[in-house]
Amino acid sequence: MNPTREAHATLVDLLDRILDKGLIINADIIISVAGIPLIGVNLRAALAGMETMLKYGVMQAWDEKSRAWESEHRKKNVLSLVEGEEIALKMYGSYYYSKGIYHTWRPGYFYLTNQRLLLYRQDFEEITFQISLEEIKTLAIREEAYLVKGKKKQVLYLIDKQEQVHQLNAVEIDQLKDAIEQKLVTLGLSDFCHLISD
Amino acid sequence: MNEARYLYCIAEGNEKITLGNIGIEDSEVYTIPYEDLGAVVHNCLPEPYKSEDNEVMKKWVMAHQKVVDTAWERFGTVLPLGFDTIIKGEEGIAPDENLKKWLKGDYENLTQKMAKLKDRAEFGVQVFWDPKIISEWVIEKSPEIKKLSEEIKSKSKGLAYMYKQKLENLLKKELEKEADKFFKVFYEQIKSCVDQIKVEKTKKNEEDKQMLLNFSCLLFKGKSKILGEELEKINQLKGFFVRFTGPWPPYSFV
Repeated sequence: MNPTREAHATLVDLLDRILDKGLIINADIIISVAGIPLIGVNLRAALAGMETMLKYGVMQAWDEKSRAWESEHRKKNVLSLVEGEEIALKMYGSYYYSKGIYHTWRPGYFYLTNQRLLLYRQDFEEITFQISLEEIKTLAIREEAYLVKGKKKQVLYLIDKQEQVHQLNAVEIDQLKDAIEQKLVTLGLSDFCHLISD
Repeated sequence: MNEARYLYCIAEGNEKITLGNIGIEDSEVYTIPYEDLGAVVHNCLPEPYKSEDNEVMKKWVMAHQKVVDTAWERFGTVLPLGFDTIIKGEEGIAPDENLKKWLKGDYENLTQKMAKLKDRAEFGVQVFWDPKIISEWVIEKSPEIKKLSEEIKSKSKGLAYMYKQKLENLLKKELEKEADKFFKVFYEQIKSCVDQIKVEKTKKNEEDKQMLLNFSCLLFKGKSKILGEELEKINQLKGFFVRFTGPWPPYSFV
Protein backbone atom coordinates (compact mmCIF):
# COMPACT_ATOMS: atom_id res chain seq x y z
CA MET A 1 0.00 0.00 0.00
CA ASN A 2 1.42 3.37 -0.98
CA PRO A 3 0.85 6.64 0.79
CA THR A 4 -1.12 9.26 -1.07
CA ARG A 5 -0.88 13.00 -1.10
CA GLU A 6 -3.19 13.71 -3.95
CA ALA A 7 -4.25 17.29 -3.33
CA HIS A 8 -7.99 16.87 -3.42
CA ALA A 9 -8.29 13.66 -1.49
CA THR A 10 -6.03 14.73 1.33
CA LEU A 11 -7.13 18.31 1.81
CA VAL A 12 -8.56 17.56 5.22
CA ASP A 13 -5.37 15.84 6.31
CA LEU A 14 -3.44 18.86 5.15
CA LEU A 15 -5.68 21.28 7.00
CA ASP A 16 -5.44 19.20 10.17
CA ARG A 17 -1.74 19.73 10.08
CA ILE A 18 -1.40 23.29 8.90
CA LEU A 19 -4.13 24.77 11.02
CA ASP A 20 -3.57 22.97 14.31
CA LYS A 21 0.02 21.94 14.35
CA GLY A 22 3.51 23.12 13.64
CA LEU A 23 6.15 24.78 15.72
CA ILE A 24 4.93 27.04 18.51
CA ILE A 25 6.51 30.43 19.01
CA ASN A 26 6.19 32.41 22.21
CA ALA A 27 3.45 34.90 21.78
CA ASP A 28 5.17 38.23 22.24
CA ILE A 29 6.81 38.42 18.84
CA ILE A 30 4.01 37.05 16.74
CA ILE A 31 0.82 38.68 15.68
CA SER A 32 -1.83 36.97 17.65
CA VAL A 33 -5.42 37.05 16.69
CA ALA A 34 -8.07 35.37 18.65
CA GLY A 35 -10.07 34.87 15.49
CA ILE A 36 -7.59 32.75 13.62
CA PRO A 37 -8.19 29.33 15.04
CA LEU A 38 -11.85 29.96 14.50
CA ILE A 39 -11.39 30.71 10.84
CA GLY A 40 -9.43 27.54 10.57
CA VAL A 41 -12.16 25.53 12.16
CA ASN A 42 -14.84 27.04 9.99
CA LEU A 43 -12.86 26.52 6.87
CA ARG A 44 -12.18 22.96 7.76
CA ALA A 45 -15.73 22.24 8.70
CA ALA A 46 -16.93 23.67 5.44
CA LEU A 47 -14.40 21.84 3.33
CA ALA A 48 -14.55 18.58 5.21
CA GLY A 49 -18.30 18.67 5.09
CA MET A 50 -18.46 19.19 1.38
CA GLU A 51 -15.73 16.71 0.68
CA THR A 52 -17.31 13.98 2.72
CA MET A 53 -20.74 14.60 1.38
CA LEU A 54 -19.58 14.72 -2.20
CA LYS A 55 -17.52 11.62 -1.71
CA TYR A 56 -20.54 9.68 -0.67
CA GLY A 57 -22.68 11.27 -3.28
CA VAL A 58 -25.10 12.41 -0.62
CA MET A 59 -25.13 15.98 -1.67
CA GLN A 60 -24.53 15.76 -5.34
CA ALA A 61 -27.92 14.70 -6.55
CA TRP A 62 -29.74 16.63 -3.92
CA ASP A 63 -27.61 19.66 -4.42
CA GLU A 64 -27.97 19.71 -8.17
CA LYS A 65 -31.67 19.12 -7.96
CA SER A 66 -32.30 21.78 -5.41
CA ARG A 67 -30.12 24.24 -7.24
CA ALA A 68 -31.93 23.60 -10.46
CA TRP A 69 -35.27 23.95 -8.75
CA GLU A 70 -34.22 27.10 -7.01
CA SER A 71 -32.85 28.78 -10.10
CA GLU A 72 -35.91 27.80 -12.13
CA HIS A 73 -38.09 29.03 -9.34
CA ARG A 74 -36.29 32.31 -9.09
CA LYS A 75 -36.45 32.91 -12.78
CA LYS A 76 -40.17 32.36 -12.89
CA ASN A 77 -41.05 34.29 -9.85
CA VAL A 78 -39.50 37.63 -10.31
CA LEU A 79 -42.14 40.15 -9.54
CA SER A 80 -42.99 42.02 -12.69
CA LEU A 81 -43.02 45.75 -12.31
CA VAL A 82 -44.52 48.43 -14.47
CA GLU A 83 -42.19 50.57 -16.48
CA GLY A 84 -40.56 53.23 -14.34
CA GLU A 85 -41.55 51.46 -11.18
CA GLU A 86 -38.84 51.07 -8.54
CA ILE A 87 -38.81 48.99 -5.40
CA ALA A 88 -38.11 51.09 -2.31
CA LEU A 89 -38.66 48.45 0.34
CA LYS A 90 -39.17 44.72 0.57
CA MET A 91 -40.34 43.24 3.82
CA TYR A 92 -41.83 39.98 4.98
CA GLY A 93 -45.33 40.33 6.31
CA SER A 94 -48.95 39.30 5.93
CA TYR A 95 -52.31 40.59 4.89
CA TYR A 96 -55.61 39.88 6.54
CA TYR A 97 -57.90 38.34 4.03
CA SER A 98 -61.54 37.67 4.68
CA LYS A 99 -64.42 36.54 2.59
CA GLY A 100 -67.60 35.34 4.14
CA ILE A 101 -66.75 33.09 7.02
CA TYR A 102 -63.27 32.49 5.64
CA HIS A 103 -60.60 34.71 7.01
CA THR A 104 -56.87 34.35 7.36
CA TRP A 105 -53.56 36.14 7.41
CA ARG A 106 -51.84 35.56 4.11
CA PRO A 107 -48.07 35.77 4.28
CA GLY A 108 -45.76 37.08 1.62
CA TYR A 109 -43.43 39.93 0.86
CA PHE A 110 -44.55 43.52 0.93
CA TYR A 111 -43.08 45.55 -1.85
CA LEU A 112 -43.25 49.28 -1.61
CA THR A 113 -42.58 50.95 -4.94
CA ASN A 114 -42.92 54.50 -6.10
CA GLN A 115 -46.37 53.61 -7.39
CA ARG A 116 -47.95 51.03 -5.15
CA LEU A 117 -47.82 48.84 -2.12
CA LEU A 118 -48.30 45.16 -2.73
CA LEU A 119 -48.00 41.81 -1.05
CA TYR A 120 -46.46 39.18 -3.25
CA ARG A 121 -46.51 35.47 -2.66
CA GLN A 122 -43.54 34.07 -4.46
CA ASP A 123 -44.47 30.41 -4.24
CA PHE A 124 -47.80 31.03 -5.91
CA GLU A 125 -46.70 33.90 -8.11
CA GLU A 126 -49.61 35.73 -6.73
CA ILE A 127 -50.20 39.31 -5.74
CA THR A 128 -52.41 38.91 -2.73
CA PHE A 129 -52.96 42.54 -2.07
CA GLN A 130 -52.09 45.74 -3.80
CA ILE A 131 -52.99 49.32 -3.61
CA SER A 132 -51.91 52.33 -5.56
CA LEU A 133 -50.23 54.89 -3.36
CA GLU A 134 -52.69 57.49 -4.54
CA GLU A 135 -55.49 55.42 -3.05
CA ILE A 136 -54.09 55.44 0.46
CA LYS A 137 -56.00 57.69 2.75
CA THR A 138 -54.52 56.95 6.11
CA LEU A 139 -52.38 54.57 8.13
CA ALA A 140 -52.46 53.65 11.79
CA ILE A 141 -50.86 51.05 13.99
CA ARG A 142 -52.87 49.39 16.69
CA GLU A 143 -51.97 46.80 19.23
CA GLU A 144 -54.31 43.88 19.31
CA ALA A 145 -54.68 40.72 21.27
CA TYR A 146 -52.89 37.88 19.60
CA LEU A 147 -54.11 34.33 19.24
CA VAL A 148 -51.88 33.38 22.10
CA LYS A 149 -53.31 34.73 25.31
CA GLY A 150 -51.47 37.64 26.81
CA LYS A 151 -49.47 38.33 23.68
CA LYS A 152 -49.98 41.48 21.71
CA LYS A 153 -49.71 41.81 18.01
CA GLN A 154 -49.27 45.06 16.16
CA VAL A 155 -51.48 45.59 13.17
CA LEU A 156 -51.13 48.27 10.57
CA TYR A 157 -54.51 49.59 9.49
CA LEU A 158 -54.61 51.03 6.05
CA ILE A 159 -57.70 52.91 5.02
CA ASP A 160 -58.16 53.68 1.36
CA LYS A 161 -60.06 56.48 -0.22
CA GLN A 162 -63.10 54.23 -0.60
CA GLU A 163 -63.08 53.99 3.19
CA GLN A 164 -62.14 50.34 2.99
CA VAL A 165 -60.05 49.08 5.87
CA HIS A 166 -57.10 46.75 5.26
CA GLN A 167 -55.13 45.05 7.98
CA LEU A 168 -51.45 44.41 7.45
CA ASN A 169 -48.71 42.90 9.52
CA ALA A 170 -44.97 42.99 8.92
CA VAL A 171 -41.69 42.07 10.51
CA GLU A 172 -40.87 45.71 11.20
CA ILE A 173 -44.24 47.28 11.17
CA ASP A 174 -43.11 50.77 12.18
CA GLN A 175 -40.52 50.76 9.47
CA LEU A 176 -43.09 49.76 6.90
CA LYS A 177 -45.44 52.50 8.02
CA ASP A 178 -42.69 55.11 8.01
CA ALA A 179 -41.55 54.05 4.57
CA ILE A 180 -45.05 54.30 3.12
CA GLU A 181 -45.60 57.70 4.71
CA GLN A 182 -42.28 58.94 3.48
CA LYS A 183 -43.12 57.78 -0.01
CA LEU A 184 -46.43 59.60 0.18
CA VAL A 185 -44.70 62.77 1.29
CA THR A 186 -42.12 62.66 -1.48
CA LEU A 187 -44.82 62.02 -4.01
CA GLY A 188 -46.87 64.91 -2.67
CA LEU A 189 -49.74 62.61 -1.73
CA SER A 190 -49.60 63.18 1.94
CA ASP A 191 -52.08 66.05 2.23
CA PHE A 192 -53.68 64.95 5.39
CA CYS A 193 -52.57 61.46 6.12
CA HIS A 194 -49.74 62.36 8.44
CA LEU A 195 -52.20 64.31 10.58
CA ILE A 196 -54.25 61.33 11.52
CA SER A 197 -51.69 58.64 11.07
CA ASP A 198 -51.41 57.74 14.72
CA MET B 1 5.88 49.67 11.86
CA ASN B 2 4.24 48.43 8.70
CA GLU B 3 6.56 45.51 8.08
CA ALA B 4 6.30 41.98 9.33
CA ARG B 5 7.48 38.52 8.30
CA TYR B 6 5.22 35.64 7.49
CA LEU B 7 7.08 32.58 8.75
CA TYR B 8 6.63 29.28 6.91
CA CYS B 9 9.26 27.10 8.47
CA ILE B 10 12.73 26.92 9.94
CA ALA B 11 15.10 25.12 7.58
CA GLU B 12 18.42 23.46 8.05
CA GLY B 13 21.42 25.37 6.67
CA ASN B 14 22.38 29.00 6.60
CA GLU B 15 22.13 29.83 2.93
CA LYS B 16 20.64 33.21 2.21
CA ILE B 17 18.57 32.58 -0.89
CA THR B 18 15.29 33.34 -2.50
CA LEU B 19 12.84 30.60 -3.45
CA GLY B 20 10.96 32.82 -5.87
CA ASN B 21 7.43 34.17 -5.84
CA ILE B 22 5.86 30.99 -4.52
CA GLY B 23 4.35 32.36 -1.34
CA ILE B 24 0.86 33.39 -0.32
CA GLU B 25 -0.51 35.85 -2.90
CA ASP B 26 2.63 35.20 -4.98
CA SER B 27 4.89 36.83 -2.40
CA GLU B 28 8.60 36.37 -2.76
CA VAL B 29 9.86 33.78 -0.33
CA TYR B 30 13.42 33.98 0.99
CA THR B 31 15.53 32.86 3.91
CA ILE B 32 16.84 34.81 6.87
CA PRO B 33 19.83 32.86 8.18
CA TYR B 34 20.91 32.61 11.78
CA GLU B 35 23.88 30.35 12.62
CA ASP B 36 23.06 27.12 10.81
CA LEU B 37 19.35 27.73 10.65
CA GLY B 38 17.32 29.63 8.10
CA ALA B 39 13.89 31.13 8.60
CA VAL B 40 11.78 30.84 5.45
CA VAL B 41 9.64 33.97 5.19
CA HIS B 42 7.96 36.54 3.05
CA ASN B 43 7.44 40.23 3.76
CA CYS B 44 3.95 41.17 4.77
CA LEU B 45 1.89 43.65 6.68
CA PRO B 46 1.60 43.12 10.42
CA GLU B 47 -1.87 41.69 10.16
CA PRO B 48 -3.13 38.16 9.74
CA TYR B 49 -4.32 36.67 6.51
CA LYS B 50 -8.00 36.08 6.91
CA SER B 51 -10.91 35.87 4.57
CA GLU B 52 -14.55 34.99 4.73
CA ASP B 53 -14.15 33.29 1.39
CA ASN B 54 -13.26 29.65 1.84
CA GLU B 55 -11.79 29.43 -1.63
CA VAL B 56 -9.36 32.21 -0.80
CA MET B 57 -8.45 30.61 2.51
CA LYS B 58 -7.94 27.32 0.73
CA LYS B 59 -5.63 28.93 -1.78
CA TRP B 60 -3.58 30.50 0.99
CA VAL B 61 -3.33 27.26 2.94
CA MET B 62 -2.23 25.47 -0.22
CA ALA B 63 0.37 28.16 -0.90
CA HIS B 64 1.66 27.80 2.65
CA GLN B 65 1.99 24.09 2.16
CA LYS B 66 3.73 24.53 -1.17
CA VAL B 67 6.38 26.76 0.35
CA VAL B 68 7.03 24.36 3.22
CA ASP B 69 7.27 21.52 0.69
CA THR B 70 9.68 23.42 -1.52
CA ALA B 71 11.88 24.35 1.43
CA TRP B 72 11.71 20.78 2.66
CA GLU B 73 12.94 19.48 -0.65
CA ARG B 74 15.56 22.17 -0.97
CA PHE B 75 17.02 22.04 2.56
CA GLY B 76 16.34 18.46 3.63
CA THR B 77 14.97 19.14 7.09
CA VAL B 78 12.41 21.71 8.14
CA LEU B 79 10.46 22.62 11.25
CA PRO B 80 7.12 23.71 9.80
CA LEU B 81 4.93 26.38 11.34
CA GLY B 82 1.20 26.59 11.26
CA PHE B 83 -0.74 28.88 8.97
CA ASP B 84 -0.65 32.61 9.75
CA THR B 85 2.42 32.76 11.97
CA ILE B 86 3.56 36.34 11.52
CA ILE B 87 6.55 37.89 13.27
CA LYS B 88 6.01 41.53 14.10
CA GLY B 89 8.39 44.32 14.81
CA GLU B 90 8.21 46.60 17.78
CA GLU B 91 9.03 50.17 18.53
CA GLY B 92 12.60 50.48 17.38
CA ILE B 93 13.00 46.75 16.65
CA ALA B 94 12.71 45.43 13.12
CA PRO B 95 10.83 42.16 12.61
CA ASP B 96 14.03 40.49 11.42
CA GLU B 97 15.68 41.38 14.68
CA ASN B 98 12.79 39.93 16.62
CA LEU B 99 13.00 36.80 14.54
CA LYS B 100 16.72 36.41 15.13
CA LYS B 101 16.31 37.08 18.81
CA TRP B 102 13.87 34.22 18.96
CA LEU B 103 16.14 31.92 16.92
CA LYS B 104 18.97 32.77 19.27
CA GLY B 105 16.95 32.22 22.42
CA ASP B 106 15.47 28.95 21.20
CA TYR B 107 18.51 27.82 19.29
CA GLU B 108 19.32 24.73 21.32
CA ASN B 109 15.76 23.52 21.33
CA LEU B 110 15.44 24.12 17.60
CA THR B 111 18.64 22.34 16.63
CA GLN B 112 17.71 19.38 18.82
CA LYS B 113 14.38 19.11 17.06
CA MET B 114 16.08 19.49 13.72
CA ALA B 115 18.40 16.57 14.53
CA LYS B 116 15.47 14.38 15.55
CA LEU B 117 13.62 15.14 12.35
CA LYS B 118 16.54 14.82 10.00
CA ASP B 119 15.62 12.84 6.89
CA ARG B 120 12.27 11.96 8.36
CA ALA B 121 8.77 12.52 7.13
CA GLU B 122 5.35 12.34 8.64
CA PHE B 123 2.65 9.96 7.45
CA GLY B 124 -0.99 9.88 8.36
CA VAL B 125 -2.58 6.52 9.10
CA GLN B 126 -6.28 6.11 9.66
CA VAL B 127 -8.06 2.82 10.01
CA PHE B 128 -11.81 2.61 9.52
CA TRP B 129 -14.25 -0.20 9.81
CA ASP B 130 -17.65 -0.78 8.40
CA PRO B 131 -19.88 -1.24 11.45
CA LYS B 132 -22.39 -3.27 9.44
CA ILE B 133 -19.90 -5.87 8.31
CA ILE B 134 -18.25 -5.98 11.71
CA SER B 135 -21.62 -6.32 13.46
CA GLU B 136 -22.51 -9.31 11.33
CA TRP B 137 -19.26 -10.87 12.24
CA VAL B 138 -19.71 -10.12 15.93
CA ILE B 139 -23.22 -11.60 15.89
CA GLU B 140 -21.90 -14.78 14.29
CA LYS B 141 -19.14 -15.03 16.80
CA SER B 142 -21.03 -14.40 20.03
CA PRO B 143 -23.39 -17.22 20.99
CA GLU B 144 -25.41 -14.97 23.28
CA ILE B 145 -26.10 -12.35 20.61
CA LYS B 146 -26.73 -14.96 17.97
CA LYS B 147 -29.29 -16.72 20.13
CA LEU B 148 -31.02 -13.44 20.85
CA SER B 149 -31.17 -12.45 17.19
CA GLU B 150 -32.69 -15.87 16.38
CA GLU B 151 -35.29 -15.50 19.11
CA ILE B 152 -36.50 -12.13 17.84
CA LYS B 153 -37.92 -13.75 14.74
CA SER B 154 -40.49 -15.73 16.74
CA LYS B 155 -41.64 -12.86 18.96
CA SER B 156 -44.68 -10.66 18.68
CA LYS B 157 -44.17 -7.11 17.46
CA GLY B 158 -43.99 -5.52 20.90
CA LEU B 159 -41.71 -8.13 22.34
CA ALA B 160 -39.53 -8.07 19.27
CA TYR B 161 -39.00 -4.39 19.85
CA MET B 162 -37.83 -4.99 23.42
CA TYR B 163 -35.56 -7.76 22.23
CA LYS B 164 -34.17 -5.57 19.53
CA GLN B 165 -33.20 -2.92 22.00
CA LYS B 166 -31.53 -5.47 24.18
CA LEU B 167 -29.73 -6.86 21.19
CA GLU B 168 -28.53 -3.45 20.10
CA ASN B 169 -27.14 -2.67 23.53
CA LEU B 170 -25.32 -5.96 23.66
CA LEU B 171 -23.98 -5.46 20.17
CA LYS B 172 -22.79 -1.97 20.98
CA LYS B 173 -20.88 -3.20 24.00
CA GLU B 174 -19.39 -6.02 21.99
CA LEU B 175 -18.34 -3.65 19.21
CA GLU B 176 -16.63 -1.35 21.70
CA LYS B 177 -14.72 -4.30 23.07
CA GLU B 178 -13.66 -5.32 19.58
CA ALA B 179 -12.64 -1.77 18.71
CA ASP B 180 -10.46 -1.69 21.78
CA LYS B 181 -8.88 -4.97 20.90
CA PHE B 182 -8.19 -4.02 17.31
CA PHE B 183 -6.83 -0.65 18.34
CA LYS B 184 -4.23 -2.31 20.53
CA VAL B 185 -3.25 -4.86 17.90
CA PHE B 186 -2.98 -2.28 15.11
CA TYR B 187 -1.11 0.15 17.33
CA GLU B 188 1.57 -2.40 18.06
CA GLN B 189 1.68 -3.53 14.46
CA ILE B 190 2.13 0.02 13.15
CA LYS B 191 4.42 1.18 15.92
CA SER B 192 6.89 -1.56 15.08
CA CYS B 193 7.53 -0.05 11.62
CA VAL B 194 7.83 3.63 12.50
CA ASP B 195 10.17 5.91 14.37
CA GLN B 196 7.59 7.76 16.41
CA ILE B 197 3.87 7.43 16.64
CA LYS B 198 1.29 9.90 17.83
CA VAL B 199 -2.29 9.03 18.61
CA GLU B 200 -4.61 11.67 17.19
CA LYS B 201 -8.26 12.22 17.89
CA THR B 202 -10.57 10.18 15.74
CA LYS B 203 -13.00 12.07 13.60
CA LYS B 204 -16.72 11.98 13.52
CA ASN B 205 -18.15 8.79 12.17
CA GLU B 206 -19.77 8.37 8.86
CA GLU B 207 -22.52 5.88 8.58
CA ASP B 208 -20.75 3.10 6.75
CA LYS B 209 -17.29 3.98 7.93
CA GLN B 210 -16.18 4.49 11.48
CA MET B 211 -12.73 5.78 12.27
CA LEU B 212 -11.12 3.30 14.58
CA LEU B 213 -7.77 4.98 14.92
CA ASN B 214 -5.93 8.04 13.70
CA PHE B 215 -2.16 8.14 13.96
CA SER B 216 0.59 10.47 12.85
CA CYS B 217 3.75 8.50 12.22
CA LEU B 218 7.29 9.70 11.83
CA LEU B 219 9.71 7.65 9.80
CA PHE B 220 12.66 7.90 7.47
CA LYS B 221 11.83 9.49 4.15
CA GLY B 222 11.57 6.78 1.55
CA LYS B 223 11.20 4.09 4.19
CA SER B 224 7.46 3.92 4.07
CA LYS B 225 7.43 0.59 2.25
CA ILE B 226 7.42 -1.61 5.33
CA LEU B 227 4.67 0.45 6.89
CA GLY B 228 2.76 0.28 3.63
CA GLU B 229 2.98 -3.50 3.60
CA GLU B 230 1.77 -3.73 7.16
CA LEU B 231 -1.14 -1.40 6.39
CA GLU B 232 -2.02 -3.46 3.34
CA LYS B 233 -2.51 -6.45 5.63
CA ILE B 234 -5.00 -4.46 7.68
CA ASN B 235 -6.67 -3.17 4.54
CA GLN B 236 -7.19 -6.75 3.38
CA LEU B 237 -9.22 -7.67 6.47
CA LYS B 238 -12.90 -7.87 5.71
CA GLY B 239 -14.72 -4.71 6.76
CA PHE B 240 -11.57 -2.66 7.34
CA PHE B 241 -10.19 0.24 5.31
CA VAL B 242 -6.92 2.06 5.68
CA ARG B 243 -6.10 5.62 4.67
CA PHE B 244 -2.43 6.21 4.26
CA THR B 245 -1.34 9.77 3.51
CA GLY B 246 1.98 11.52 3.18
CA PRO B 247 4.79 12.18 3.11
CA TRP B 248 4.05 15.36 5.04
CA PRO B 249 6.54 17.76 6.54
CA PRO B 250 6.71 16.80 10.22
CA TYR B 251 3.95 19.11 11.46
CA SER B 252 2.94 16.80 14.29
CA PHE B 253 6.43 16.26 15.63
CA VAL B 254 7.76 19.75 16.24
